[in-house]
Amino acid sequence: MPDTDQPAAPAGAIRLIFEYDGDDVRLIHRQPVDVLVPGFDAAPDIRTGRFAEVRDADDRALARVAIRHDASSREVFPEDPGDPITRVDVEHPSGAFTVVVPASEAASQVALLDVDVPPPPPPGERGIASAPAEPRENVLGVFPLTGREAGQ
Amino acid sequence: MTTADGSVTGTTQISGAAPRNRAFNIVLLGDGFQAGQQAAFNAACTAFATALLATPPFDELAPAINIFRTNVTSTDAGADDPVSGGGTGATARTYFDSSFGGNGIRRLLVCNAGTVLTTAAAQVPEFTLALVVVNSTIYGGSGGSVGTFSLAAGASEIAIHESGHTAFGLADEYPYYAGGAETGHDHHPAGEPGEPNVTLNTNRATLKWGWAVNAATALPTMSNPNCAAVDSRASTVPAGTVGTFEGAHYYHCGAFRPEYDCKMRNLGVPFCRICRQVIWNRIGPLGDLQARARTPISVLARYPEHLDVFAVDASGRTMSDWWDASSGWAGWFHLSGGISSAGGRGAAGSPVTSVSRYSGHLDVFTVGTDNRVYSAWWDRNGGWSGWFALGNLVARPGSTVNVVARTNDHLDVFTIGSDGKVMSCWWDAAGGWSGWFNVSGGVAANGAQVTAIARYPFHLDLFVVGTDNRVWSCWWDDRSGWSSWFQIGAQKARSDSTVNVVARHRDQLDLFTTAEDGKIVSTWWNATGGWGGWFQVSGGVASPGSQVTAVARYSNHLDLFTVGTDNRIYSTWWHDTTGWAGWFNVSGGVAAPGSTVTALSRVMEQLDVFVVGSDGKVYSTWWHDTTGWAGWFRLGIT
Repeated sequence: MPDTDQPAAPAGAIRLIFEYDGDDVRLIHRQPVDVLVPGFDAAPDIRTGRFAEVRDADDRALARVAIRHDASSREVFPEDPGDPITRVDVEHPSGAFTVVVPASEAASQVALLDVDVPPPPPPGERGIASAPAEPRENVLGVFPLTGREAGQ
Repeated sequence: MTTADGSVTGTTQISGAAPRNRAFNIVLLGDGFQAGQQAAFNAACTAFATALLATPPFDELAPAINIFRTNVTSTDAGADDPVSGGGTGATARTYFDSSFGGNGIRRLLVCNAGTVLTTAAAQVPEFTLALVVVNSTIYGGSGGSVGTFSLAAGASEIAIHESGHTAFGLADEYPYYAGGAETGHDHHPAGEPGEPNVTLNTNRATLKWGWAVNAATALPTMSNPNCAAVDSRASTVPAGTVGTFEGAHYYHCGAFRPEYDCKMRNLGVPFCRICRQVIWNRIGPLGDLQARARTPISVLARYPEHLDVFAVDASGRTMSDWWDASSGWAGWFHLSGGISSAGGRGAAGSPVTSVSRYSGHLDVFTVGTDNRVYSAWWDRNGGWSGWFALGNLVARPGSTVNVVARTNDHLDVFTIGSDGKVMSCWWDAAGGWSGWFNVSGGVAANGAQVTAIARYPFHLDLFVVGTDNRVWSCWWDDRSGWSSWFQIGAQKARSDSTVNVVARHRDQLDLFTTAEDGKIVSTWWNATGGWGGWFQVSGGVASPGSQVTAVARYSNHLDLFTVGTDNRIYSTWWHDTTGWAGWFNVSGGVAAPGSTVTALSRVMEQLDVFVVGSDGKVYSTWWHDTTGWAGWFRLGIT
């Protein structure tokens, strides 16, 4: 290829750090960062889980990034290999998590969503003849991506 | 106990050399290490890096992994060890407030996650995963947004397991919640888990890891005979068998894991095949794709702000990448684990071809290494399926599978059989897949492909280079069925030529192919004048094996692309008022010899072009009427 190879301009990204105490979620850190948000984190599939959805000023969704953090329980590991790993419920979840979201010029806010995709209908021929049920979404909070720095 | 109980003294990269903005960055932070104990922290970090990079698939992915240690000096050594958790009652003033005894369990080692994350972000803004190493020989650790592990032997296994959750979204595969004696965990509740390595589904056709399951492996592979208890039997199949093993995701029955054992089920064992693939798919895209050079790339735009790209890597694996205006390029990933045929056309091999019947759905096709035709699909509600064979047709090695969606609920599929016959089958939402049939007795030249176009929902036109190296066509109409094949003029084509066709409007066809001497030739058909004569397009000659690609951005304009005899990437255009332009080199680009240029128009005044470059990497450029041609860039993540 020629010497004139040039990559497309990288999309901007923002690291967000949230603290939670029970159902109360606070944005404590917002930091522009030069990092790629891999497609697998920003997969457009509709899946069950928690997501950070980047939105423009008119609440239109621009991107959705999976948040991989289960606050409801913790794992306990065995000291002896072969003994079972177990989980224990957390009665009052508190802690923190981070997510890096792509941030185009239009990005204005980020919403934390819990998405629940209902079980699909019984598989028919290639499983696409029947329309799947609509996923349910619960908005945990909406936070600005611009303006006064979080946590300051 | 706060950050007043210590200070951050610095960060050192201990492994890797990948650019931080294109790497999987792990930050190890020390807690409970006093100033004189930093050597112990350094040694623990080195040991962790050695253990991680010896663990498949991290061993293969090491070039894309950076590991950093952040040295933090604490006032006291160790961590809290409260009596309420079965500990000694010791307390330690440390920077991240690490403490054993979380939830009253001594081995549950927790810390102040908010402080860890903000410290990691300050030290390595690009970090992917933060882990805290706690200065204690008491066995312990925990997961979550921040993983913790102590200096006890084997505790680094905790960190690797927890990275499976935090960085890769993997589920726990163990079949119990509290060791197996708990109640309420006999049957998994309804609802497919979102994680990629557990499922409630044992249907081979729709299993999320179906691509990895051998056809001879029974599904379910192991069923729990007593759902009141954990199935503790030894595996009934050889180690490494991928199937569906009942007992996963904290339940004795109803949920299945991909292999009998996995690091997401037990510490001290390898990750299973599916978890390794998930990890590879997360880190691998940070690297470049080495493509099989002569295999054409397939690209489509499900909607104007989105592109899906399909290619085959140098080892024959089917690969994909996508671009969205909102997030840029996603990065290459293995497409359902498929392997495509390498034969035919100077080992150009079978490409992945694709069609989008509607914006939330993709259907892809290839010829596998067993020369059978395979398909898979992606749907916005559910993601990628596994590959499945379309009947028992044995295709010619390296054949292209051409597919046309005449309507949202119908696919027509065409390829070349092992005996050279032009074969077809169809899928309809109402009736499923048909069997294969030979189209009107047609036989293709060795290396030729069949192309198809639907000018109307009730009409198909087919084109192929026949065994006499002439260009032949036939059509299907729902009122009259398949026509006989007829020859289009006397033009002789290269036997491995593809006849590319575009319909600028419904009553016009423009054909492009390469003559026996490599000349790029064209003819046309329209409803009023019938077939025109063949002519050479602006004196162009294609590289041996290279095809001609045509795009009609609007009804009175054509854009053509090819790889020339000097392997440079060339284009020309036709406009009804000015005729054919001369060929020009696109942005200085040079392609792999014998490769094919792929082009499409997402919007009328934009062209997106894709090639395999002379270095075997996949490149793209674009043209816009306001800015002209951009420079070439390599596809990966942007």
